[in-house]
Amino acid sequence: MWETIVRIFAPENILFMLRGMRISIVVAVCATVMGILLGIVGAVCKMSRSKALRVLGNVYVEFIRGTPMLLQLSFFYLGIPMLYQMITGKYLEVNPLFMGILAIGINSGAYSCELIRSSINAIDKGQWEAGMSIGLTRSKILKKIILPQSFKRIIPPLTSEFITLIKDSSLVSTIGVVDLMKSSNILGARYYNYFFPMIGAALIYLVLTLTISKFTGQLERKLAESD
Amino acid sequence: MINIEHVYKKFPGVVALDDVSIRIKKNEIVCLIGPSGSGKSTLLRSINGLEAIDQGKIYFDDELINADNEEQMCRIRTKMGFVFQHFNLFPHLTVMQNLTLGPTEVLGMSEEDAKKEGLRLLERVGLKDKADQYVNKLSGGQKQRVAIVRALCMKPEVMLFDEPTSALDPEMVKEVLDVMRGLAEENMTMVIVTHEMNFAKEVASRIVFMDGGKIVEENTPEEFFREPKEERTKLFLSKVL
Ligand SMILES: Nc1ncnc2c1ncn2[C@@H]1O[C@H](COP(=O)(O)OP(=O)(O)O)[C@@H](O)[C@H]1O
Ligand SMILES: [Mg+2]
Repeated sequence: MWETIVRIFAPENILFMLRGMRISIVVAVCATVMGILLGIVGAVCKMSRSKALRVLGNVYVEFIRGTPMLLQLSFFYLGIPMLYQMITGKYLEVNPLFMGILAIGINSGAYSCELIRSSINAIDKGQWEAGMSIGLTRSKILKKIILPQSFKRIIPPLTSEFITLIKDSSLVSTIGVVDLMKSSNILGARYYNYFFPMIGAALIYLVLTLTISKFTGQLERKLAESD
Repeated sequence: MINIEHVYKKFPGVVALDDVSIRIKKNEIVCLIGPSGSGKSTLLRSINGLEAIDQGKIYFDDELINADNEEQMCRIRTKMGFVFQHFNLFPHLTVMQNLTLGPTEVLGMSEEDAKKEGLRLLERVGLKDKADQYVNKLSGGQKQRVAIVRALCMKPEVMLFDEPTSALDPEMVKEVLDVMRGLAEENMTMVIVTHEMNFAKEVASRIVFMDGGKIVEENTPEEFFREPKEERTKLFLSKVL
């Protein structure tokens, strides 16, 4: 058994897993950033005075949160090229990494949207009124007064969203992206032993998530201090 | 300057304004008094378009106010300063940034001019040395003085005050009232909701007494306090004086 462990965790295999880890991080970071941007747009839509925008925002959030992420991912990787083919008759080559980030980012946007919206709603309505009383428009109040104050409240839940995405990014392994999860599967198949590669991958995920939440804890304390 | 005609405003289960009509002339100081829940805040907030009325008309300088018209409200609000009971200063900004936000963003003033004007007004209320502090570090009285200055920085034609001293510790009431006295001396047009009867007696050109969403009685302060006409006014005054 010791021999197997040494063979599986040979330097080149560890490097292979670390490259997988890099992809996992790339997916999580890109999807989080995309999710935040979409979340802001979604939150603004849901709070808009235009009924059409509110409906649009609601449909987006409910649809994404009400369906499995794995289905959404497959839809982007398989469904969209298929749709393209049905319409144009041509084959569409898609990059699995790109589609993976897109699907997870859109998914994360729906969750971030709710986080952002509730942190905006948590701001005292007197702040809106004070902004209005000096003649600011709604969008300027949002930008200059409300968002800067909700920022502090959004940071902690958004970092836990980031941690969630580090873990959920493993779903991209199902569409052929060689992330940390996939790299452990590949090693497992190569050495006819899935146990140790999985333990290895689990440890790396754990190190990542624990590091981020430690960092978050410090950030939260800093933010709390400045109150 | 402000002309209010037959205004009604209902909240679920309560009529907050019930056929209210009142005219406020330039350079006049109107003190609105009355028991809690009588509709004073709602009236003041309706003038500033913070509350949309159900019926009636409110004119500012002969322009009909529509609280749902953002473009119009933004323009008209620059001419009306509003001072809130709970200050509503912007806690993420310094005192000076609180003051310059409106002038730079709305009036298009340069940062430099806005600061100069802010500093001049801060000095007048004795808070020049607080310019670079965050507002949470200030006492209640200081906050309210900053809030008044924030409104004044927009160079308003009229100032609306909603119980500006009600949230203050007693020892801080005077410093805020003194600032308002200063404005009165400069003939600033003001509508003041207050429970400070002595202050109202001293500065008001007219006292308006509200109860149950209606204007019950209005008069000069001398007449009003010497011989109130309505029973409800007498009852109220016997409680507060
Ligand atoms: N936003 C609101 N929603 C529901 N009821 C309200 C609201 N604002 C005020 N009211 C009610 O309207 C009445 C008048 O309130 P208000 O104008 O605040 O009185 P005042 O300032 O004289 O104390 C009260 O009965 C109050 O409960
Ligand atoms: Mg009130």
